[in-house]
Order: sequence, then C-alpha cells, then structure tokens
Amino acid sequence: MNVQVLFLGPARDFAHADSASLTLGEGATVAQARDVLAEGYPGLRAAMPTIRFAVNETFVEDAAALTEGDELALIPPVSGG
Amino acid sequence: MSRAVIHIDVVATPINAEDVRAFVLGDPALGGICTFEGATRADTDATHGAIARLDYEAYDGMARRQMQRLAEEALEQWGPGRVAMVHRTGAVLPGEISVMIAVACGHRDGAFAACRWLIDTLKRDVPIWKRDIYEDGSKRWVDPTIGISGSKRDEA
Repeated sequence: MNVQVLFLGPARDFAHADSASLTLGEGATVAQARDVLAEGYPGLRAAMPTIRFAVNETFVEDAAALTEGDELALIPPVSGG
Repeated sequence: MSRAVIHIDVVATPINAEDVRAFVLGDPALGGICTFEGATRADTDATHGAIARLDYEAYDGMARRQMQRLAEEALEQWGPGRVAMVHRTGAVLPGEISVMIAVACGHRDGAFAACRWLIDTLKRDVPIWKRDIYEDGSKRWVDPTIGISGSKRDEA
C-alpha cells in the first residue's frame, strides 16, 4: 500500500525533499515507516528520535497502523509562538 | 448569546490585536479577559550578524485542527468562556507579533490559567516552525530544545 509522506519544517532540509510516496506492506505501522524513512533518507537519522509522526493531521503513536492513501507527516520539534 | 466561542486562524498578514480581542468580548457573564502576544525576538549571532526577519511555516490543516482542539480542552477545564488563537506565517520582522491568544472566562483565575496553558501547549503541540533569517542571508531553523547558551531553553 502507498502512503504520502510530508517532510515538514527542518525535516525538509534533513531529507532534501518536501514529500515522498512510500510503499509499505499491508498493516505496516508508523514504527516501520520510521525505519524505512531512516534507511532511505540518511539525513533524517540523527533527528529521527525527536521527530513525531502525524497521520491525516493527527499525532499518532509508533504502534499505529497505516492504511492506503494515508498522509504521513514528519513533525520535528515545533517552534511556533 | 453564545456561551462558548472559539476563533482559530493561521494568517499571512499582520495580526490586529483589537480584532483578535474582540472575538472574546461581549458576553457579560465572562468577567476575566486575558490576552497573550508573542513578539519575535531578534538575537544576534556571532558569525552571521543580526536577524533580518523570521520565517514561520505551518502544516496548515493540522495547525488549525490542533489549535481548535486546544481551545476546546481549555474551555472544558476553565469554561464557560471564549477563546481566540491566531498565528502568523510567512515573514515576520523582529518585534512584530507572531501569535496572539485571547481568553474570556467567568473570572480571572480561569482566564489567566487558560491563557498560560494555551500558549505553553501551542509551543509544544502545534505544527508550526520558525527559521531565523540573518542579514547575511543565512538561514537557521530554530531548535526549541536548545537555548542560546546551549543549555535546555527556559521559555519566556
């Protein structure tokens, strides 16, 4: 199944990309997506432990399962305000 | 008259404080009005010089959704009341307002507490990032986990 990945804020610089399409097995979790992304985007590795994930604009835990068409956003530590 | 009003916005234009404050006024049952405005500070870097501006960017849909959720939680805890939260994106000059929160509650205890909680939680959970743009053209994402001295940052 395919999910659309968004690299946000500083993650854009780490990944050298704004977005990507990720192909994962059925029932893949956010944790697995995290590993695949760290593998495919070496610039993300150092920051990865501090990066939170959101699926369809809601924060998720690593155990959350992904489904076809999900929008998976990488949320580095935020700095609004 | 509505007893619970929430106004959330992410805007690319200067924030008008009176307009934001007006969203929480007008309910005579709400006697405590509290506002917070975050102004951009302009530090000077030893290597790159002065900050020319800050660039803010938001994951727009989620930023709005999160601020809505925070406002609802604040009113659950300190309501009934009204909440307005507006964050600016794009280029912001040093000293300009990048975020404003206005709260009206029955009494001042709730208004102060809700306003404080809202800005603290926004700075932790709303997907907005800022980047320092220096006069020499260089850019640096602000890392909220590190203070200027390199130690854990104390929030203003």
